Amino acid sequence: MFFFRPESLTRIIIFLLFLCNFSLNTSGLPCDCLEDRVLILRNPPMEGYDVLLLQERLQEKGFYDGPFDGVYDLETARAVALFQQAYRLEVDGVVDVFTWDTLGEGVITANTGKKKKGPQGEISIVINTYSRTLTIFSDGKPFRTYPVAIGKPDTRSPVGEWAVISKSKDWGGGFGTRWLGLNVPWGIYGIHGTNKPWSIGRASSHGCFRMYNRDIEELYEWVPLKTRVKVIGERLPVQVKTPLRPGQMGLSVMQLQDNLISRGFGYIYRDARYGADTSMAVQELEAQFGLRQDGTADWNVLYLLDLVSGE
Amino acid sequence: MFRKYGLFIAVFIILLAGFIVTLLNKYYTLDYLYNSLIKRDFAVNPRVDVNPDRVYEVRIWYFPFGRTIDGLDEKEFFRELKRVLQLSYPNIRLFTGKVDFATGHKKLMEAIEEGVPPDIFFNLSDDFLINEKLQLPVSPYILDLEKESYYTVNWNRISHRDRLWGWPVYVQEQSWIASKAANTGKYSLLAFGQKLAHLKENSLLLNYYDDTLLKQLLTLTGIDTFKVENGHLDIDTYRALEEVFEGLYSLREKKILYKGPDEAPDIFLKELMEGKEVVIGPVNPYLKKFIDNKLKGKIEYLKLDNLVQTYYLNIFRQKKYKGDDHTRAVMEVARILSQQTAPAFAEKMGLKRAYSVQEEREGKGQVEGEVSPVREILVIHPDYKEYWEGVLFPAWLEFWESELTPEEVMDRL
Repeated sequence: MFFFRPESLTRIIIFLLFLCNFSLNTSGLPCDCLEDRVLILRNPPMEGYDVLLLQERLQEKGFYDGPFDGVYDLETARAVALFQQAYRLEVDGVVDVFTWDTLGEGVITANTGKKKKGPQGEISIVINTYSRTLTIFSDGKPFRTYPVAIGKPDTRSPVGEWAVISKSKDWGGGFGTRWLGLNVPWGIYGIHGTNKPWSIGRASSHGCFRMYNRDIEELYEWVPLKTRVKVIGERLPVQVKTPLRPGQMGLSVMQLQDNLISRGFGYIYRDARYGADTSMAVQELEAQFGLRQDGTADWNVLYLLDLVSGE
Repeated sequence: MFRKYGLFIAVFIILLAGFIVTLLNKYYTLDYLYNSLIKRDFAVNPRVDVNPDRVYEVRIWYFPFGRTIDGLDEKEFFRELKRVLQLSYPNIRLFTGKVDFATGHKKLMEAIEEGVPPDIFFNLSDDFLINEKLQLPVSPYILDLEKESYYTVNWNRISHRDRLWGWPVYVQEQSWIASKAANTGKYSLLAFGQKLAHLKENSLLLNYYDDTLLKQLLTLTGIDTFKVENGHLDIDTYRALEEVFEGLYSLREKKILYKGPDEAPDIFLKELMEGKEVVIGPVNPYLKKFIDNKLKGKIEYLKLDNLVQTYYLNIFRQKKYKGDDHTRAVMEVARILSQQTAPAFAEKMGLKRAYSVQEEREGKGQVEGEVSPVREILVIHPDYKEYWEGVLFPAWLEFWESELTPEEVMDRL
């Protein structure tokens, strides 16, 4: 069915290589969870997890039987071209939002439009990066669990306790149909839909949590702003280099909160924000060790919490 | 007839009175009778025993003393207490509640105001408590013989209006910590003050925000009590304070104290952990245990002569009094905690047991009748607490932060 003469295929590939001279901008938000980059054939070739996902999906669709090496080489570009021709897309070997969307067709179960009865109690969300699931809780009881895609090892999802601070619809592309923004202080992260539904259940994102569009649409209706979102997972330890003060934010503060909690100081959210709760927990530690009780994580506090190492 | 039987009647009356007193003494103490019948005050009859047919619920509040000490589980501590308690008093049920170090005392005061304090406050903090509102003295329950076994305890320190206000549990020998590099060991035979005079420049970092430092230095001058009369320091306390400030001023002048006096309390641990040539103090049990674990073999202790700090159980009743037998049950829990279960955990906590049996004392060179070689750190009594916190401590901080002279700081007192 998909049949090319060798010379026409070569023409296409030359055309694709020609395109490499153009710079193509990625669209979307200035966000850690980036919109999909556009994949093109160039020299040196583009590499990455997105290329691997592409190769896997093309293989599933019967267009690719090469290695899964994450390299956008001639063989991959050829398979893309074949796919584009078969699905009546522009045959240019460029994997843009339209190609991604088409690749995802057939995986996404469409939302039936029938509204399901949502949770009635106080809502909270727990995302478990080990099991790659998102569970919505109602009054502390699990209500429903969904599969999610989490961040790759080099772009880890933000482990901690966050809140939903924004909601928006229909960005399309890599963000799918809905977006729930989280208040992570070191970047823009959220829970959103996707046009790569076959990546759900994997560590494949730039840090955001991808869900099937069907699922995020359901969740979107139930989750109000300020909903607590707890992300469970592994975080690489951070060495704190200077004293920390109330008002500061970031990974160092998160590490301070981690170490306070693990030693039983205070009841605080691990939200990477040095607020009143964190300050109180530090004061409690200071009181136990007979230090000045000002709520500042000075050098004494950092050493007592093993946040710095001596000698 | 009276002449004939007068002697007989007199003897009979005396015998009868003796019999009545003996009988009364079996069931009441003189103190109880005096307070309840004559003074018409609240009084507890310590002669009342635990009723084996009644179930008692005893509440203990404690600071989370185990959370920063590896291998010390508070749950295990209280499990053991419950286990031992069950052997003698299966009808006493124990309930524990945790309070934090920053707000624990405040919470206790609030509970006292509301009339519902715990029965026992396991006070592992440096702030000894005397609050006559609902606190119960332990004196009628501690036998003289038992007192001897608390051989480091200076009972006068916790005596207020002729009553004892705490049941001793642990003792900490007072010392500051020096890095090995400071080589303070060579002065080990000198008195504490002389040791300090030999330290190198910029090597002494004192955490003056901990008022234990002031208590330590005042006790070292030799005074037994901190006293204020009519809003003014009594003469002995005044002179002791003068001595303390002059001693510190001399260390400042000789540049032995760390160059940044306002910085020292925030970085003293960093300096020690980085192996610098420093001496730090004061060091409470939690800090000492932390440093012991981290820097084993790299530090020395600078003993504050023969000073010790004792930690106590404070006993309370509730506004809705639960009865003298309940109080007896609470005192029995305190006795078991102090004498039987807490001692087993002393080493893990880096402390010494307050209660020790004769053989142990003899093993340590302590023989019966010998005067205790230790000196207990000052306890600030409730009548003087306001002055301590409101006048003296702010002046003390100013001495450090504004580098006042001894004359300037004494003018503020």
